[in-house]
Amino acid sequence: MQRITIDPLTRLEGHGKIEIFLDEAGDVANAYLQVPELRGFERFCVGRPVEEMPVLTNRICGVCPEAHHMAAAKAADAVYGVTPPPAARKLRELLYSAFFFADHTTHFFILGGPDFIMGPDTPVAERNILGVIKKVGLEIGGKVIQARKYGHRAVEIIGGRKVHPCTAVPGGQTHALSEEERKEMEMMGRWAVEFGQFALQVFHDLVLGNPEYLDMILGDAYTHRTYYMGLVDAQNKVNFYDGRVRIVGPDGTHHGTYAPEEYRDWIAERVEPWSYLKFPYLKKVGWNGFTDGADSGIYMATPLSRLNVAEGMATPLAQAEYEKFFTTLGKPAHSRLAIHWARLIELLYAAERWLELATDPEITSPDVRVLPTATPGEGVGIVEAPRGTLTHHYRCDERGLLTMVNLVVGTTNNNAAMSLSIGKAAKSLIKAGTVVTEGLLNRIEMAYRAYDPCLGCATHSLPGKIPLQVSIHDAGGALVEVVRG
Amino acid sequence: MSKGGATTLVIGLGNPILGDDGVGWRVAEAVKARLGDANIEILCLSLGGLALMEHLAGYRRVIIIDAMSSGAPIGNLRRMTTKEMDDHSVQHTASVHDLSLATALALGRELGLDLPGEIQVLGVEAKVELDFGETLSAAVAAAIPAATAAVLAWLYAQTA
Repeated sequence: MQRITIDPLTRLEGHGKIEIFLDEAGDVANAYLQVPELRGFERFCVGRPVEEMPVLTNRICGVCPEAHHMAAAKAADAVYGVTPPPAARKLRELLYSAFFFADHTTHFFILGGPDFIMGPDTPVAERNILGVIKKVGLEIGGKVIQARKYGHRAVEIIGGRKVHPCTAVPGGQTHALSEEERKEMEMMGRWAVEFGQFALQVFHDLVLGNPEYLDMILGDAYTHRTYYMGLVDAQNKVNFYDGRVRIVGPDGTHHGTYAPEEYRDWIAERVEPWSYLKFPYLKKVGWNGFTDGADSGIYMATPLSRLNVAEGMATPLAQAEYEKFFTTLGKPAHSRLAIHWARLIELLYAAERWLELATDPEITSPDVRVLPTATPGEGVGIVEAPRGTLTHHYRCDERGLLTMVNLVVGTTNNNAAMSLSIGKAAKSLIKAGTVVTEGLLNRIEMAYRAYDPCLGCATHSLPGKIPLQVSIHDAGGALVEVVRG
Repeated sequence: MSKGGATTLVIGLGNPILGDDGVGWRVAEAVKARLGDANIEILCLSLGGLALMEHLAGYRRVIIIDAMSSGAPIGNLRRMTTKEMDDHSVQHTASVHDLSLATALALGRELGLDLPGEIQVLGVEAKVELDFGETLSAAVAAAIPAATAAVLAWLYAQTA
């Protein structure tokens, strides 16, 4: 087969590309995901004061600045060896729950959901939120916009401004929550819990209730038996803000857990000549190529992973749904399309946690910061970003100026797993003589979209701006089909 | 949402730490330095389609300044519709995690949001950046006075 050369100019277009190569018989030989990469964010940070990082890193990308803000604040806490007071920790988790709620809402209703609600073969012009409104009713669109509005408002109340929060600092938060603000947070939290239940009802009615979609979710084309990763609390329940990272194997058995500062003992990164993005894998298992199974260190870090590694959800409504989920799919669940369902369970958990924290007597405590006094050193902060485990690692000199910065971002964790998924979907769906339709290519894209990839910070660019292009090459390497998503 | 009753909004769009991609912010800041009009609000944002659309609600007229990549000489200015903006924007509006601005606006109108009747986009041709940095290229920096004047001319023409 012809060697693939990537024209550097195609990088400049800022497209994520799926390249599918056919063999002589017309079957799929290989499929690759390629993304452009912006360079030098880590280098850009070196020499700056570490306390700037919570604000600076949320400029990496406009999609999940809240996640970078939190990971950076936690890494800066660790650099100074300071533990924020309980109210500060709770305020951070409250902001973070509201952010997860809005982000997961956006993914399901705007990005991933239309494939199911409209059908995967519906023309792209209708396979979007506008089509969903036409089919399901205007009310659903209004609710989605309201969910985003409340999410942004909650971030603004605690984070000081919409979208790019600025109140988490080493040792805690810059502002306490007033009683008036708490009441508003509680009102929005109650609405959010109702919306979370509504979202799951939509999924049960329109997706699980449709035998064709259920078959697609349970089918082999979207299934890989890999390792899974996610943060858990002391009771092994899902937690987005804090805890230890737990890893389970393809058969669901415990592989290990690690504290943030131990991440380098567990995660290694592989470089492939055809990709600008690295491929993290489990160090203790090793790299065994693009394959799944217990001998392959490829892991996944998504909502599905978080449910797989946990022993339950910390809130009652989400726990009930968690039980339904694994009764239907078995545990661990391996179908990549089940990530959508897992995401909605997390959405409900985020809403319930939002309400719990907004009604916590300690949430309005004025004690929200411990001033750091120790000489700064080295620290690692880990949170779950909506699309995977996010690690920030900083080293400083004694003045608190950064000498080293390393970020392992949500989507990058899934780079190898996404490549597997695209390859398998392509091989399952395209056979010799298959007429390649837009709907068929969309079914391949669905393998990738389920991960909610945000290439914005995976590639260190802003803000998650990479449209997708699928190209098919024949055995001679000639381009036979291009579809832009 | 409009605060303080402003009906006109100027948005500088881009990433201030990604080289030429920050030009929208720099132009918006230059406009702000020249204006003291309570009826005109000026924002610097790093957002894509859906969130950008949500920011426009409540205003009558909006001008967005953004870096663009159309193959024209670096520093070239171009007035566009939001649809053209989606086609030419350097790095912002189209996304795997968002709608394009044009689609987001269609959604907002469908849902009855109070969106501006007129949305003007001013594109500044930029060098596509792959490296982080806070400085603009010389050609883009040199375009700031002309871009600022173009925004002011649009504002005055509209408010006259």
